[in-house]
Amino acid sequence: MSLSQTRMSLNDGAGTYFRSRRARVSETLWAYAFLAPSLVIFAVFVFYPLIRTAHQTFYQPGLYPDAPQRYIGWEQWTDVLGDSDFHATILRTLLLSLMTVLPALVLGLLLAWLVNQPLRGMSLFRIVFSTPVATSVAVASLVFLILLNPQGGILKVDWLTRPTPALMSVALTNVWQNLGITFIIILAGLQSVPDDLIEAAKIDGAGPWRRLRSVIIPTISPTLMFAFVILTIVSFQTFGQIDILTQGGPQDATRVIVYDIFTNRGSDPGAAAVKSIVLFGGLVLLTFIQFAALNRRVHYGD
Amino acid sequence: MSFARRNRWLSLIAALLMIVAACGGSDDSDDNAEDSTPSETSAGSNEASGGSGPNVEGIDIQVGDCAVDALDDAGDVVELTMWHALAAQSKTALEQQAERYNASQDKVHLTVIEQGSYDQLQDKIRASLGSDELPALAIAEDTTTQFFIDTRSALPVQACVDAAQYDTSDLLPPWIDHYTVNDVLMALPFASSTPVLYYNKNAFRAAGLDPEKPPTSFAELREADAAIVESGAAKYGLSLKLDSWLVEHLVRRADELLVNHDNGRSARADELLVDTPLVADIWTWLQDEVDNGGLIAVEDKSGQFDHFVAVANGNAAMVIETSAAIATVRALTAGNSVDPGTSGLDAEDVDLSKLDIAVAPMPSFTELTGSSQAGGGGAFIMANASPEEQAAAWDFLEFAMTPEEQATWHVESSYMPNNILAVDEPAVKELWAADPAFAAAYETFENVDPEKARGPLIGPYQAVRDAIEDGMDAVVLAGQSAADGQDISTEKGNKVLADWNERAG
Amino acid sequence: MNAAVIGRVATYVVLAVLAALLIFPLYVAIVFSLVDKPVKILTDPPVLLRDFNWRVYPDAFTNGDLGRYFVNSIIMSLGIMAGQLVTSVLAAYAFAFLRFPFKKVLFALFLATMMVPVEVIFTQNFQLILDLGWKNSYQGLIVPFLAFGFGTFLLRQAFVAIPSDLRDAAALDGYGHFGFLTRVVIPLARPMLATLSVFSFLLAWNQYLWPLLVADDRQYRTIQIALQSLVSTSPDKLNQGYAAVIMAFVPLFLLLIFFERQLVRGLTAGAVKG
Repeated sequence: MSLSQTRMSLNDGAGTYFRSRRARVSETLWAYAFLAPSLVIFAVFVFYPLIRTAHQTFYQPGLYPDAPQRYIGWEQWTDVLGDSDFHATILRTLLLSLMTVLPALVLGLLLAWLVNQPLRGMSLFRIVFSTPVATSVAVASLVFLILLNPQGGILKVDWLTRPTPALMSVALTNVWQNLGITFIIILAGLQSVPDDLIEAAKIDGAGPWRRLRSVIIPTISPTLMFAFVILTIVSFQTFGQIDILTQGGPQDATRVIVYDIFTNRGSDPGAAAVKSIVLFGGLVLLTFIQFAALNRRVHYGD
Repeated sequence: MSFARRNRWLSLIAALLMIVAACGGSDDSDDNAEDSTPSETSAGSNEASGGSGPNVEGIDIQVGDCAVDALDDAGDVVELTMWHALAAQSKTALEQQAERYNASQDKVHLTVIEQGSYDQLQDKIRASLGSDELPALAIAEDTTTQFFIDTRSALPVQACVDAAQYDTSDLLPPWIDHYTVNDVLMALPFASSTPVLYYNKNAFRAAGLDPEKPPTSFAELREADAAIVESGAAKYGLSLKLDSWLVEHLVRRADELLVNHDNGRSARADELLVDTPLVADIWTWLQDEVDNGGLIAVEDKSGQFDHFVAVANGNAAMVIETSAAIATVRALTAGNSVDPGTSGLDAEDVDLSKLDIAVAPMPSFTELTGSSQAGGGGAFIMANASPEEQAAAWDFLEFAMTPEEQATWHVESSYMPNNILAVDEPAVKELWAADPAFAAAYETFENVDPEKARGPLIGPYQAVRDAIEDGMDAVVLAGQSAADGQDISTEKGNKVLADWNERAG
Repeated sequence: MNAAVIGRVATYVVLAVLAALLIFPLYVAIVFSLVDKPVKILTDPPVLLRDFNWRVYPDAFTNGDLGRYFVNSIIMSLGIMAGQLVTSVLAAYAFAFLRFPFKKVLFALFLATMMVPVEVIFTQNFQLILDLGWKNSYQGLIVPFLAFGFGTFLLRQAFVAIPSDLRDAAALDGYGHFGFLTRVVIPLARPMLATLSVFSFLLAWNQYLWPLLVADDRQYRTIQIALQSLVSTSPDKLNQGYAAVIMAFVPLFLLLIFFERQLVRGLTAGAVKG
């Protein structure tokens, strides 16, 4: 998909403007001057905290300010990685991710496909289906609280107080809130599918379903991949929904990794740091899988 | 259910919702100290001042200096900030007290800031340690004493008591004792409360129970549950939030310990003692009662108010909760909207006066050998505040602890009068005569051996509570055996204690 | 009726049903927000609007002190948006038009920041904010987000698409890098800049975890955090709580209506097509 292609073509447009040898040095200076603001921010507020977090995985701070840190070393890692509660947390995080990403992708595709037809009134539906984009995590969660609250909820269900349904409720909120952006991304992809491709399939006698399956989906696979990645990253970061709907309960059923880090950051900063790095590792892994998948099978022309 | 009747339930819901709002934390207490005249008084038995009990081994408390005279030298008005976690009537009462204080003198200007629940308040303090974000004064949950010691973030109130030669003997002895560690008084009791039983007399009448004889033990509670369910007076007898706080109080009342080393008072606790027959019995009782259909139990989480709603909508007849909510309930049942014009409640719309909510001491699980546990919110002075701010904090506390202020505080907030002289104030006498509910809560602590009312000292108290609730939820909500639940709690609790102690060095 | 008509009707029916399902949660929130007597929300949650009261909205605004929270959210979001636009435009220009050592490494580094969301580093970042004395301040809310890897990437994609003869023409006209950037590149990339602005504003506006940590003082609290506490701490004023929820939603919804096409087109051009 796009990210990898960009990498490969990074030098295509570069250096064609000011070519003179004399300008080389000045070009470099200009480049670094232009990059400097971003680099400073990234260095101070992304990479430095990341390094500090990595460092913290080997140390446990004392209780009072300025108390000496104690070196724990790899033991802190093995403690966390060997903790069955943490295994459950990781599994739960993956499960929530799965229950968020797949339904959102399928529904987003369905909605985008339906709307992307040359019928009247589609712009209205487009606005309607994009609506969740305008909802924040807080708004979406509080809105779903209305539906799901065991006392005084509209749906009269007891989901938030029982473990499995509680996790599903969080996933449902996630799906709803992310459906808007998924829909927009996939619709953008659909609109870029060349009409003649569809026409050719029609002439071949393919019905709408087959056109979707054999022509449209393969053509927009980069888009779907993009949506998949965005959704996965977002689902890994789920926090506000849990803070508002379940606070990690009932019986830890919705304690996913970010919430776990959040609640343990004060009581066990060392373990929280290990968990943060594990989360980071998960995101890195995800990115590599994405690139691998892209390089292998995504081809598209333009 | 007729519409009129239904309306009554609506109003009860409203009332109970306000309770929820009222209890920012589990329980609270306040206290009043008379500055001069020390006097022998009825309630309590201890000499309050330095507290008593063994020293906690390995804990060294630096008392530090409290410059009580700093106000005299301060040129400008000292801005004093106080964090708290009170809500509804109690919050209003506190804000009014601050106004009275500000009007009473011109050296200090006090601003009170609500910081959500007690847990949220503690989180904020924890997050701000070592920065200049902390206020000079905080009404934190009584369970945070050890946290303040270990994080060295509080100036022990003892420093100010000594510097001002303040006499604490009129302050509620169980609470003074509760906040005293190694002969150092860490906080003044401020928002003091205790669990009580709220019951609907109408439901009792409908079930053929004597509304003047509420259950005093859990055995009687079970009988009452059965009678209520059987008669159809309510769907359930009792409604409960599965709060660790409940277990802690029942354990203390049986004169047992929650953690080892004398509840953390002779050395740092490193073992959670929930693997006892008593705790197994309590959890099994709750489990059985859920199975029998006598109890509706809900999980403890912030903003949880389903246990109140259950009483309100006629699903249950009783609930055990903090005494600090009495004032709010009374305000509502008297037909006064607590927050007129915004809650949409008014006396014409819902007839709150038909509610017949009475208050009784919390039933005991075993024969009462211990005492209710001192609890609530204590006033902690922050260590990194300036000397002027610390002096201002102390000045406010002296003001707040006077019998007159404590009488007003008790009447308006329904927290305990922290100054025992306040009970002789006309306002309190009048109130108690009119409404025995207020007296009932206070009586829980009369003639009590403070030693038995003293709560545990635990650094990671919040996390230990989570561990206890994990086990309790597993038993009561998920139907696991008591032994399994105890294993869960013990394992988690001990780990939390070990981690903390390791960090404490 | 022929098959095409039936098909069309069926499509509309399906669309209508899906739209109704999607909108239902928001609809209920609107109903709740207009209920006159909040107590009824808990006893008999209304699905249809019966006793509605428009006063709930101004009351919620006043009682909840929403004005301040909105202003905070707007300051934070605009600050982040403006900052990200500037830093991303500059960086994207360098990546698109300039040749310099370590270009690939640096570009990879920019992309890598996407793997380090605030959820990964918030504990240490918060510590940093404390050390800087920035807790409860606008800079604490804004500065950590002033650079944006994804934004740089999007803009770079747009910049690269600018025809090369324009660059040559600009060079002939004697424009330096800054002149070329401001007079040629930015005007041409305006659609993508608009997309990025909307995207960046949305993300900032919707932040939850970071403002929860950094701005616990009412004076700097953002609307998202205020919503949560309005609804959860005042069960007796749920109608006002939900009025606040709707009020936080509407500005973004309007933004969406105006910029929806833009967002679709921008994402198509930038991220999706590459």
